[in-house]
Amino acid sequence: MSELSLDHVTKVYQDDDEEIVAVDDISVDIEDEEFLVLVGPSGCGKSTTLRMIAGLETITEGEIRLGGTVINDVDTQDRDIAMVFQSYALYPHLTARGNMSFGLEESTDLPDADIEERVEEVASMMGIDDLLDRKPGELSGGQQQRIALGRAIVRDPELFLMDEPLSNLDAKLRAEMRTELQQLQRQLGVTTIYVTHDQTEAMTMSDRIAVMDQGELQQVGEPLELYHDPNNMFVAGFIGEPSMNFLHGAYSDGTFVSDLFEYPLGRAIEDAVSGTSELVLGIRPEEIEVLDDAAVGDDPAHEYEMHVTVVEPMGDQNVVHLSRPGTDDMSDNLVAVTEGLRDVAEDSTATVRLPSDAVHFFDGATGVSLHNRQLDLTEETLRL
Amino acid sequence: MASSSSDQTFDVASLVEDYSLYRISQYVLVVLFIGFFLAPLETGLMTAFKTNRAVAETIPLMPPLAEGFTLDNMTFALDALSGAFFNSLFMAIPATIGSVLFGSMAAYGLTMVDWRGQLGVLVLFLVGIFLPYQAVLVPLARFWNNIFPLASMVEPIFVALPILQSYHANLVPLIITHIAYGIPICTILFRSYYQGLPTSYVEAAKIDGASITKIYRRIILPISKPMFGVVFIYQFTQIYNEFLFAFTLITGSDTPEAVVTLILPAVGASTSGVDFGIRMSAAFLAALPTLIIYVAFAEQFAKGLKTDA
Amino acid sequence: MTKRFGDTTAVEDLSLDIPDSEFLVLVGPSGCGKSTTLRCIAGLESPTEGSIYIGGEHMNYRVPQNRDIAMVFQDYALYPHMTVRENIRFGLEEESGYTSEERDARVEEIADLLGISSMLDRNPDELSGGQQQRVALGRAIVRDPEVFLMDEPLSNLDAELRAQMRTELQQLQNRFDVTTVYVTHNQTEAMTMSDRIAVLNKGKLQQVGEPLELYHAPENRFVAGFIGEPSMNFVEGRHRNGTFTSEFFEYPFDSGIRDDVGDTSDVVLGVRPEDIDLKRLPEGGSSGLADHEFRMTVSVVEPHGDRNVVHLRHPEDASESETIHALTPGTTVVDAGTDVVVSVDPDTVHVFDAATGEALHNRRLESEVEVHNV
Repeated sequence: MSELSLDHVTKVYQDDDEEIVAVDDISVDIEDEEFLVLVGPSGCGKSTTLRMIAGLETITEGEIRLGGTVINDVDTQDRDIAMVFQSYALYPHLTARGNMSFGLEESTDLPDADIEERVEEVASMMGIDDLLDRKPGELSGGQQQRIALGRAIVRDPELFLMDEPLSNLDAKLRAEMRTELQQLQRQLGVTTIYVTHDQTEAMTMSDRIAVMDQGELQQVGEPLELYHDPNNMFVAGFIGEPSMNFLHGAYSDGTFVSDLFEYPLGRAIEDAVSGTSELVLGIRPEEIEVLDDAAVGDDPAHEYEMHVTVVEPMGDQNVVHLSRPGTDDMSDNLVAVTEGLRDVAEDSTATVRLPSDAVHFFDGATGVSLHNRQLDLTEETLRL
Repeated sequence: MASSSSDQTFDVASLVEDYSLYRISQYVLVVLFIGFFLAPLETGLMTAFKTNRAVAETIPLMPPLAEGFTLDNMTFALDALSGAFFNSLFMAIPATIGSVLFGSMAAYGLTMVDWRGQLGVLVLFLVGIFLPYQAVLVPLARFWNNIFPLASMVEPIFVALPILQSYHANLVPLIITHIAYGIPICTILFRSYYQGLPTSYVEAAKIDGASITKIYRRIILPISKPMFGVVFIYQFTQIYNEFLFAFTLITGSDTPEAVVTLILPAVGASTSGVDFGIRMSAAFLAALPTLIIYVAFAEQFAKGLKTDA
Repeated sequence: MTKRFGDTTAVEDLSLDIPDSEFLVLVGPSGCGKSTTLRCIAGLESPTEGSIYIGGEHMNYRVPQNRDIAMVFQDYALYPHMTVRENIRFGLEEESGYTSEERDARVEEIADLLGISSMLDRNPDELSGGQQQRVALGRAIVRDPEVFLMDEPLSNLDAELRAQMRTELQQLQNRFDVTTVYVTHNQTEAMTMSDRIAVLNKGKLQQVGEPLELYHAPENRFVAGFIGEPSMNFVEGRHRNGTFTSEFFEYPFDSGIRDDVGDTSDVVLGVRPEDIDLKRLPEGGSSGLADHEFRMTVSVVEPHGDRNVVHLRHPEDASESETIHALTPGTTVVDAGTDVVVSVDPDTVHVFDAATGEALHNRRLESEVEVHNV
């Protein structure tokens, strides 16, 4: 069994008599064979956490347990883990074969022939047989990436650690490797912790996501849980691309009042937010409906006239930037996403609707979520 | 595509613009400087192959003409230096290898491994570089002669070995001195190289289960091959050309274990004056080993400088 | 304003006219020659053949400092020993016709515009990536050049900041109205920022056009596959008697497509992921499926929140040689391993010549009038 537990793990750096808390009291349990993605902006402590699990950093406080044993004081060399680095860290003087067999030679007593066999086996599984006798310098980024993965897999460790392994690849290759990595992990069934700053990778690959910010764990959950039911504004804003729109305002007598507009709240939302004065309304860009002339007026309370400033065509969808009409304020107030075939002109006026079943409300002071959109993900109607 | 007529007018105009007077004077200056620096070398080489008469009668820069040409100077110088050559190489090669190897190990320990008191040791190494040789000469001589007479201790071994003579034992203290004094500078050179290497190599190897010594032997040592080239050339030249320690630890130019730098000043000097032909020949022969080392390690040297930059 | 080019080693016979104040994006995979092209325009490399004109003036033999251009580098190339103010001012100091006070005023003005006034006296290494990026931009803008050249300026930023800077850059370019050539390997940047896109591959210009033109009417298979994320699905097969046949699929062409394809036999069928509809498998299994419907198995589902990327394979296709991706709305849940019905509208398919990659037929778009105009 290779379940991994982080128990109140803290990392404090000493810098000129100043204490910098890189990781603040993190507790997560990662189940056997789970694919957990640690995600957050740069400097949030996710890499430090990974390096503590690897034993490359000491742990200031708390415990890390692998398969039930505390590994705080176990040397890196003696932890049964494999790691894939952002830079791949392939040994430049060894061939791909030498790189892959190095770990087995150092950590096991296997005879050379067995090691050779294992390397060949993994190489053919990953489709890199013909690269085995080349040196890293002669390989492309994607091939190096595969060798680095192969080097980790060949060890057959209890735990895979991956530190932004895809960030040096171009977009197409990254999307491809994403799927490949995910399939490999399922196939091998090795508990994996994957660190990235890219929320798309987190959403698409993980079983569960742990979102970190400023050394603190914000939320752990399944991808769609984080997307539709975030704990706070940070998670809501970090997960999803383009990010959720936030409007700052106040609660006043059953209505949310902001600079942009007044938004009447329904019964359920009112109950959730009524105690708070400072409010933030959140809505995902794809939930904002840019209305046809025919559809205007169906729900007049939640419809607003906005000015279209910039339209970014993506092909399959358009990202439409909207601002308050009658001002030449270039700053965005809302971002909406429409279908790709829909022609929205820049510098025009459009009516948009913010459906009341799609809005989130957060406490303006603490950022804590007060009301999330109501979605029952297990509901049969959503199923194909 | 552009029409060809307009193309031509533009070409001429912009080409002329490039040939400025400034540019021309720059080149002239460069050529002058090259001549200035190469002239002494050329003079030396020419003199080495001239008879005494030709030396006296021709311009130093002139190549030796038919009857003025001779190889006698070379053969004489080679004869005078041959013993010293062996001594110098016997001393310089182990001393170089030793200081470079230990320097690289120390640098690895000081940059890529974490341990307490690292900084203090590093400071000691730095102090080692700035310690003036002159200050230690007397204590050093006393140490090797009176307190720890290593030369006489190892002498019986040298007698038993083929090729080597008993007097070669006197070179051993010199070798060890050079190693000790070479380590700090080698350490600093390797340290700056290792600091430039990504730490992920060591981390990856650690995760692969390799011990600290294994990581050095199997990863760091092979990776730093280009740097070895650079430091090896530098250190060999230093040790081979060194005079002060050799002069202090080896009694004089008339002893059989004298190294090239000790013999060189005496070659070609006689009561009748200085024989420049022999002098120059000896100087060129003495410079040969360092040249050979440069050529042999040229590729590594270039690579090392490149990765450094 | 015109630039012309031809026959450099990395770039093959490229001719391109960029009108004044246009935002042109040069896009392509790494090694396609896009950076070389940019460096030729900048004068950092010289074209082997052909000519470059800026504002009608021949540029081939001009040194970079005389071309009146400004360039933003991928690594920003800020001078580490100078403060932000000195960095921005540096470009101006080589320019004549300013007094010292005017230079200072101009630096302040630009810094204000970019929102970096408060950082003017800091050193570059004290700034975050996004701030450094702004300073690099400021250094380019301050010179008020005729042409802006940008070499992947956003690639060192994280995704969030990149999206933000994308919009900001675009707005800046609109405001200054300076002709801009922007190099990137990222098709999203190309699509969203440009007035026109030039797609390069292996040193050759593939197509130049407006973003949506490239998206909906690509001239060849490379452009079709490169533009759009997730990329277009391609299935290779043969065309015979008005029907497309591959190892696992049969797709009848209607008359419109038949006319375009003619008698080319080896063709590639292309469909964008968002044009593939998924439906629940009817009770009767795969019987009773219409012409353009197929039964497929879901192999992987990648949730993005607002949408899901669904990877599909044919039930009998164990080697996964003909997998296709489809996009579904984020609130539609599909489980891996289930069988679904996939339908592809004939209006949305592209057909390419398998040998040359040339587009034989592009998707039909409803006429301008019918597209919702808000």
